[in-house]
Amino acid sequence: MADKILPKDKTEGFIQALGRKFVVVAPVERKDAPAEFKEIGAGDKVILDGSQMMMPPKDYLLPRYETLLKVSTRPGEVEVQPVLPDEKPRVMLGMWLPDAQAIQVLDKVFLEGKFRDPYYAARRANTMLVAVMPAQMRWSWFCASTDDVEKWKPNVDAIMYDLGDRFYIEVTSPRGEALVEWEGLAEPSSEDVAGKDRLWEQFKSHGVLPFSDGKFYEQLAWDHPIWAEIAQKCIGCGVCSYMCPSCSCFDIQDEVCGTCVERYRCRDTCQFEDFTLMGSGHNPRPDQLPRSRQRLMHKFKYQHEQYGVVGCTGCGRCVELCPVNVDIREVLNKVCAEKEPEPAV
Amino acid sequence: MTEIESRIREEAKKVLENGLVDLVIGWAAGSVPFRTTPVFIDNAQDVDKLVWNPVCANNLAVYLPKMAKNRKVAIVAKPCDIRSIVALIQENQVKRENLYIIGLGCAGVVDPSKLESAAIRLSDIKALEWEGEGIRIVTVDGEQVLRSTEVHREMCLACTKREPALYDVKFGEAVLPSQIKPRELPELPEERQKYWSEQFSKCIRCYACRQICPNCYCEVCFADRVEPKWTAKKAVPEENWMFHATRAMHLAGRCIQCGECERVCPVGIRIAELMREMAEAVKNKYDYEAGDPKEEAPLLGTFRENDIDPAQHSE
Ligand code: SF4
Ligand code: SF4
Ligand code: SF4
Ligand code: SF4
Ligand code: SF4
Repeated sequence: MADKILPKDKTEGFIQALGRKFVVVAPVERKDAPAEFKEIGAGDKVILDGSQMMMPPKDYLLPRYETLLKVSTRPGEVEVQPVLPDEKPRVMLGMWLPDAQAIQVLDKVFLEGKFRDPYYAARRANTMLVAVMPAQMRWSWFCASTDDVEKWKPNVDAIMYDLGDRFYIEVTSPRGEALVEWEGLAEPSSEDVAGKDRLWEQFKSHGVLPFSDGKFYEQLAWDHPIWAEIAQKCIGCGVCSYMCPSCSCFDIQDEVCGTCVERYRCRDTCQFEDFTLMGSGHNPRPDQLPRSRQRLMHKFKYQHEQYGVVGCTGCGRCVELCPVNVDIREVLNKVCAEKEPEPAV
Repeated sequence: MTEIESRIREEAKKVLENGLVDLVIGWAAGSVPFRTTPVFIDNAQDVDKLVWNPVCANNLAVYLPKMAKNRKVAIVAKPCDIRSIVALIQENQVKRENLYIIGLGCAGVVDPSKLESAAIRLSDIKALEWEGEGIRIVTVDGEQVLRSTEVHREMCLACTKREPALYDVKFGEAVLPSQIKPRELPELPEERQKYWSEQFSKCIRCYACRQICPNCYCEVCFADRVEPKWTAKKAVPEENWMFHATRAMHLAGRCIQCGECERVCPVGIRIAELMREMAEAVKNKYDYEAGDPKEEAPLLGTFRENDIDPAQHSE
């Protein structure tokens, strides 16, 4: 496939050219906060090099808040109106490769099997994914421990490798060819190819945990003492799951406003006290221990059993942001190796 | 290991061995050198896990209402953490007699994101130590000392109460900041409204700010109530305003300025700045400071004759 070079000073032209064919979604800089994926518009500063913490791209495909349907009532009349997003050709740029792989996990949940989610499907259809490989690997990444990352490449349409003053655009799917048609792109030199290969090798060997055979799913035990250890310090917040690119849980709520009702969906997490709390007062996970266990078992065991993919792609957000330093790498180390972990930096 | 660290460990060992407490809550080394993690020790053999360094950020008082309910607990605590403990005692959430407070003089805590801004690669860091008012950072290529203004948490840059106000035993000396960081809020009400709108609009309602706050101990928070539904769960600007404004009011006269809410917010909302604003208003209007052992009762639970009458007073 036809790989290309994008000189960084031509990035704007490249995005404009894409904008003529696609709706372009990319991480946009914000004040005091990680960049957020949105459809870019005038005045937005796009961060394409993956060098900084960013919100997970799921925020675009599975918005934190989304109206599902509206009901209007008039005397003797009830009208139900689903609110579906448009299916437009889109391209999402600037996401880390583990985030792009996390979208594969979301695809399994929302598109495959018995239930196909029309809202997610509408945004996801015709959406191309372009991942970025930053010049420096992030300290918290452990992607290569979770899976054979070579398998991830065809799941995106292109990867942009940050080679300093230029991006190396590797086209990784047939439809990805449409992304590199712009005449402002150059042909890669053999040096560029070597630079790209070097970054890929770094990615493949970065953050590999001491035991890393990637088979956490065989070793996670329901009754492991580690669950109590995490649960004791975990404060039961939404950071690890709301920031996780593959966590998919949501809540559905109805809200009455005068004569109309809005049904919306918003985030939810197995870490919250009222998650799956039933009307009867029964809660299948009554305290933090089963909640802490659920997060890891779901990602590494249940999702693997159910879909054949590992639910965690090693993006490191929960590692970096957990308020009490529950470090998923350390947990896996302890569970799988049953020895004191090496510092995993 | 510093001298203070070893004294903390000895003390923890002593109180566990002589049966004074059943549990010691402190900080242990984190998974990376620029973080620590809460640790709960019930066996004197494990006291060597305890550490004390400039990344001991967590306010461990958050664990007390549950963990010290029916047993005696020793807690290793910074001065701000101790103010939380005082507030919890005043609000009847924990009994003084159930606590053994190992208080520490403080020299300010580091905000690791500032290290990144100071062009230090987090993965290169080996250790952080106090050095006068600043911080010595030991990395793989050597060491350097950064000024407190470059690396301390925002809340620490505004903190002058660096001596423990209540303790059973105290180690270490406070290092006071030579300058106090002023508040940065815009002056005009319209500008403030705009500032906070922008801040709150980022909120993803993960509730980490609430969960980490020692004073947000309500069994069911208003934000989780369905009937009445005070605020919807959806993270949209108007509902976020409702959540933050209500939470700020619930903590007025109760927030002790530890800055934990702001530290844990994944989207950088300046919550502690808002809390500082509230605390100053409380101080100016009622001459009350939350977490001060001299105050006998919570502000909102007391009436004093010279209290401002809100009907007479609008601003
Ligand atoms: S579990 Fe943590 S490391 Fe894994 S994908 Fe989610 S946020 Fe990233
Ligand atoms: S981010 Fe940390 S404290 Fe919050 S729920 Fe996850 S593991 Fe628990
Ligand atoms: S509101 Fe924030 S600063 Fe105040 S006590 Fe709670 S966590 Fe600490
Ligand atoms: S915000 Fe208010 S109701 Fe919620 S936990 Fe804090 S004090 Fe309680
Ligand atoms: S921690 Fe930040 S994002 Fe989470 S609820 Fe609090 S203010 Fe909102």
